[in-house]
Amino acid sequence: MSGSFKKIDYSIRPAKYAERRMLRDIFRRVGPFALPENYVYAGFGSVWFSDFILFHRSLGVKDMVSIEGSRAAQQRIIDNAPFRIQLDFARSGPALQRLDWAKRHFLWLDYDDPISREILRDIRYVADKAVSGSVLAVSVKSGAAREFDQAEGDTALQSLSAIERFRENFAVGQIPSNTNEEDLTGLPFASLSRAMIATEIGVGLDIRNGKEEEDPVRFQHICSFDYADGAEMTTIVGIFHTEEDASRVADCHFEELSFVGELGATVSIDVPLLTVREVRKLESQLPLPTGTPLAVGSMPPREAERFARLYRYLPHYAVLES
Amino acid sequence: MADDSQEISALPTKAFFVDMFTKDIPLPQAVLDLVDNSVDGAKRTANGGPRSFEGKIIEVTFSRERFRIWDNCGGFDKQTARDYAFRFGRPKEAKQVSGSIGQFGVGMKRALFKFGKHFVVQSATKTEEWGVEVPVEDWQKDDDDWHFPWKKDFNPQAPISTERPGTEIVVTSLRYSVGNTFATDWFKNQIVSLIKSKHRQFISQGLSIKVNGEQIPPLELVLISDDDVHPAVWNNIFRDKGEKDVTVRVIAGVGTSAPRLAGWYVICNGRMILDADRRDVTGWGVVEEATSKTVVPGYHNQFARFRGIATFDCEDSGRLPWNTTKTDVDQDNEIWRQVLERMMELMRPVIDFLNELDADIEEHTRERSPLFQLLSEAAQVGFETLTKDAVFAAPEREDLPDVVRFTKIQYSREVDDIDFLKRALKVGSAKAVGERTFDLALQKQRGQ
Repeated sequence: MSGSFKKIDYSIRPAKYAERRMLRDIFRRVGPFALPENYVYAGFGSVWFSDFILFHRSLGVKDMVSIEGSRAAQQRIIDNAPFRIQLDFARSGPALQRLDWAKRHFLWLDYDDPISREILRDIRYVADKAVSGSVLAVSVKSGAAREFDQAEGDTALQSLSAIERFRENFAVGQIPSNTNEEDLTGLPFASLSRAMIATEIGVGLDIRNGKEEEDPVRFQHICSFDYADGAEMTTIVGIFHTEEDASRVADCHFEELSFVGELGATVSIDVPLLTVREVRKLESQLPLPTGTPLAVGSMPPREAERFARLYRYLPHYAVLES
Repeated sequence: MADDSQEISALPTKAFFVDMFTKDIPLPQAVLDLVDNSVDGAKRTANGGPRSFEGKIIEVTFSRERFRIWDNCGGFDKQTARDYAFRFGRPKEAKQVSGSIGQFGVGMKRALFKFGKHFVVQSATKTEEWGVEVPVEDWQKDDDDWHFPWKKDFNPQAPISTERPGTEIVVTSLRYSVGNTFATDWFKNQIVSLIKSKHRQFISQGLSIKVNGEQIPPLELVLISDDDVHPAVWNNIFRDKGEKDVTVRVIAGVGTSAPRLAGWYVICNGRMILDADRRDVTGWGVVEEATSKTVVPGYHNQFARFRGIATFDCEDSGRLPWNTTKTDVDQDNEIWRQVLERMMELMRPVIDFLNELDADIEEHTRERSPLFQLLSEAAQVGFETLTKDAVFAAPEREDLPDVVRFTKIQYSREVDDIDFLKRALKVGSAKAVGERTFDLALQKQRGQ
């Protein structure tokens, strides 16, 4: 929610690009609940609106809300907003409260920051409000906990270690008890962040489901993403559903998406480095019939394998010179 | 005129009783009560020594559908079940585990009724195997019959038998809200964290406790203790005629800087009652009434290194200063009142030292403060090793070598400019930009 758009053109971050398209494929499958075009999409649009453009063009979503915390760039954002997107210039907390929660949502909370209490508060709010069939994706920065940087740069009198700060900042129930300093950077931190988000959704639902006579709401974790276009990010994606609607979730067949495989899987989006010629050679073989090995020739096998796994979602770049 | 020939019955209905009985206990506490009972089993059969609970296992699992705890801690016999374990409240003549922690004779029943509507308790000692099965709703129908039915067959899922004595408790048909809460990771995190601290002593003596498959390590409670810095230790035995002795030890010293861990720990018969307590109950922020003089200041993060431990041990757990839910001290307990005085006395020099430390860091910065350096390099020991009476020892600032004086500079500049300088000077942080530009300016001005 802070101004990462000042540094990076969202539309050319290749891993983010792939993630966006994978999310689109997840959203596409909500048919057993309602047609995707009748959903509301809410996200953090920034000045690029790449996600909005994609979901509008390929899913037909019309009702779209962009939550934008940066007031400094307000006019620029207004000038860049396509497709009559509603703009809410506010922090995510109050903006989420203004969404029309009676409607089904595709909600992508794509934070620029590592996990924090504020983020968890947003998530708990969503868990309390989202109607059955709503899909929630939460992305957080996962390179290192904010507390890790604070501990590094602290010049105060009595310095605290990163893990001490982390434990101070979150409630006991929010952090797995075996968390230690090593869990605050790299892949372990990505996994910790996702676990904390899932825990928060769980506790939000526990409170929401207080009445025995009401059909309880559950959260089905669909998949997670790990990727880095410069900054490491992790995303958790799932769908809220009432117990009665559990069969509809099954009918969405999210596990049949090629990148998901089984529900709850973690997908790492490693963008392969290949030449145009190599890409053509691989594409001529794809989709690969079962049992057939991929002919890679002189390509690094790892890159070729990555390509075969993600090719449907990867961008093609070319330079246009006028 | 009222007919007073018939007596008025004050016998409670079971439903009312169960409702009242389970209301005042928070769910995590109810789980801990069951663990306490298993720990008492382990205490009965402990082999003594520092690893006295080696080989003893307690496993707890809970989910939306079911709660289960089992242990291999000796089990209890039919007579205990009949005369005591399933009675509401402890009969006066009931035998006690020496140094027990599950003293109030209500924990197990309260937990079972709180969790769900069907429970099975099965236990095996070296000579007996038995079970009790209670479908609560059926049991509640008859308000006159308060017996629990024996289970006909003995078929626990846990590996317990007369060869491997232990107890298994399974609760199903969970209350709706209980099941919901059991299903959250939040609850599991809470339970793990509680057991880690509340039962730390037993775990560090070899007891294995697992919660939903996760092995729980003991909370480390360590203090700095070496030639320069040493905690205060005070031992005393409270002897009263006709009563069992209460052995007390109070330790006060310093550890690492960790606000979460700072404060007083009060441990009764090995069970943690208070951890990292920073309330006036343990002496923080106490003001002397007559003079309005502060005896001990209120807690502040400046004291994030403070560690105090007060342990109370007694064969008769009724003499220990804890409340019935084991969540706080009993402030009216006479022994507690005397010990609290000593705790405050022992705390004072530690607080003074931490104020000195702050002043030293203020003057020299953290990197160069001799006191800070001394603490950073000092050895730490588990509090259990601190057994001999001692006064708090720490060096005075005057005794430490002089250092070159430093002052901190703090200022702000535009982020873009700092990033530009980071690249230009090939350094990684804003702090490094500040230091490097200072050094370069100094060199230039000095003509070096």
